[in-house]
Amino acid sequence: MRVIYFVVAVVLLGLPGPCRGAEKAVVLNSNAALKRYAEVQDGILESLPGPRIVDLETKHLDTRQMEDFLLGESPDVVFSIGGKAMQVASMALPAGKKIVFTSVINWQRFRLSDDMFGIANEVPPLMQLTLYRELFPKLRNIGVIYSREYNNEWFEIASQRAEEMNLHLVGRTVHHPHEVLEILKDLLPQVDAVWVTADPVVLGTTEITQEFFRVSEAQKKPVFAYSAAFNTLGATVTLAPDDTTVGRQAALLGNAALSGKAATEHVQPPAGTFITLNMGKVKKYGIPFNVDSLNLINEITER
Amino acid sequence: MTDLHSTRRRSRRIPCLLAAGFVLLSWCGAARAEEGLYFYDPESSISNYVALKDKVTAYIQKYGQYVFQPFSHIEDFEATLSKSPTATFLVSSWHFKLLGQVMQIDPVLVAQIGGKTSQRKILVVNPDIGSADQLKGKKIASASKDVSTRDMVSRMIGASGADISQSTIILRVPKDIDALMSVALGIADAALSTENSFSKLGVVNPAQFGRMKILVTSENQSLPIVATMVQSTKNSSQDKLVSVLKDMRQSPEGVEILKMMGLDAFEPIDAKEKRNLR
Repeated sequence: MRVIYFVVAVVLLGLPGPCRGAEKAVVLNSNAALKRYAEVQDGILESLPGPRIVDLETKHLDTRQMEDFLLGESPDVVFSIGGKAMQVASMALPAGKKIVFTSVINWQRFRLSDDMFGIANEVPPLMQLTLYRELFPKLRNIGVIYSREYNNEWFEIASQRAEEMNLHLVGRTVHHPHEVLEILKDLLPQVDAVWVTADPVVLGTTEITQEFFRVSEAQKKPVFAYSAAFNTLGATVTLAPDDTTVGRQAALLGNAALSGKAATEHVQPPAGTFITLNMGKVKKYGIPFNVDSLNLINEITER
Repeated sequence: MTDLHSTRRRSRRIPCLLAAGFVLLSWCGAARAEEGLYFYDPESSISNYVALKDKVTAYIQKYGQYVFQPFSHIEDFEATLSKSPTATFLVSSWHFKLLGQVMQIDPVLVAQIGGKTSQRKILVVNPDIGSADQLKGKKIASASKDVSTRDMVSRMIGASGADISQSTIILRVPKDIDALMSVALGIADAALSTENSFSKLGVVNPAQFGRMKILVTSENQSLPIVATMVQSTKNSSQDKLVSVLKDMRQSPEGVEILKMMGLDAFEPIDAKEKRNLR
């Protein structure tokens, strides 16, 4: 039966790629049609030309077929782009082989083996706060609504970083999504801006998320967010990882892992940032803006 | 009765008038579609050319039928340049010197930041690194490409710089600030940056960036250069474009464009700066 699975895997994926000396790599992409994932893949390929690439969105293999494929390929490292690819690789790859994951939301949800390495999906608070401070020199108080369950430690670290830069985080905790909007309305008059972080309790539904931005807009308070997905909702600044750089980092991490030189910390923060600024909001809210920081901005909108 | 003689004289006048008009327009230097500004600077902090292209195009087209074309690949840039004898282009001083070896080009303007037309590159390291030798095998974050980063680091270190530089791992990042952050976050051991970027971050976050130190510094290098191909005849349209660039600092729209490029102004290049570019 395994022979049949192997044959099916080969037929679906083509013959095994050429061997490249001692180290061989496979890239599993959860969905190569997604721009984010495609850019990560490009970054990997800059440093690692010629790996076998599998787009899991178009190549549907069950676990057994994937196991046989990976057995046939026998890669030394598998680069997994997206959560789906990470799960597939962790289930199908034999022990002892390295996995380098990227583009996984809240990677801490997963139990990592000693052979797993990755680039986190979240830009660290230090980087975010430094950029907000650089863009808006008069910024002092930033509101943050968060759940203790998901972000207690994050908030503590972020608060320390903020104080180093003469910024103050005004935090409010929530236990349930239905608390968010009332807390937000109470918080907004006390702060210069609101910082949205990845927290399923805070932006638990589409309706709450949309209302969050609408309420902030009504009070002319800028919202800083962690993903370009919030641009259309009215975020003033979004700060996300630069995906091509994530790919480059992943390639370097893979090389280091194979040579035994990987750092003690298996997961690195993303090194590059992609910043979007809604200049329309900046002008509308009358926020003092550092024009000398314009060259830091990747995309400027005027909504 | 038709005066055939008059008709023939009139019919000959039209092509002559057209020819004269053409000569006149050429003499006036009417901008042809391909005239404009070409930009290539992989070391710049600009990460999204779309917004820049829109802004610059709208700006220079107020003064003529100019185009603005940024390039992200050197091959495309150089190929276009070789086919555009009337092009005006903006490049790093490093690249200008390379181009000057294969093309007849003339620097006309130099960029300015903080009143200076040159800057120094710096190699910033985490506190663990005390000497250039300790950089061997380490990771350097840089907004420049691998080749130019290694070349710069090698020259900055001096003797044994080439060996050290070749042994390092280069992590290319989008912006100088990302390179410096990489060191602060422990992603990289060193960052190739500029004095200007480092001092700005030192003001924003002295606690984090005060721990980092400058290991080596480059010589002063000219900021980006606006240049033209050497031509045998005067091109008033091109001269006008250069003048528009020089005067950008005088309008809010021009200042915004300059800031997007990380610059404060363009100013005429002097003889000393020209010699430094040879």
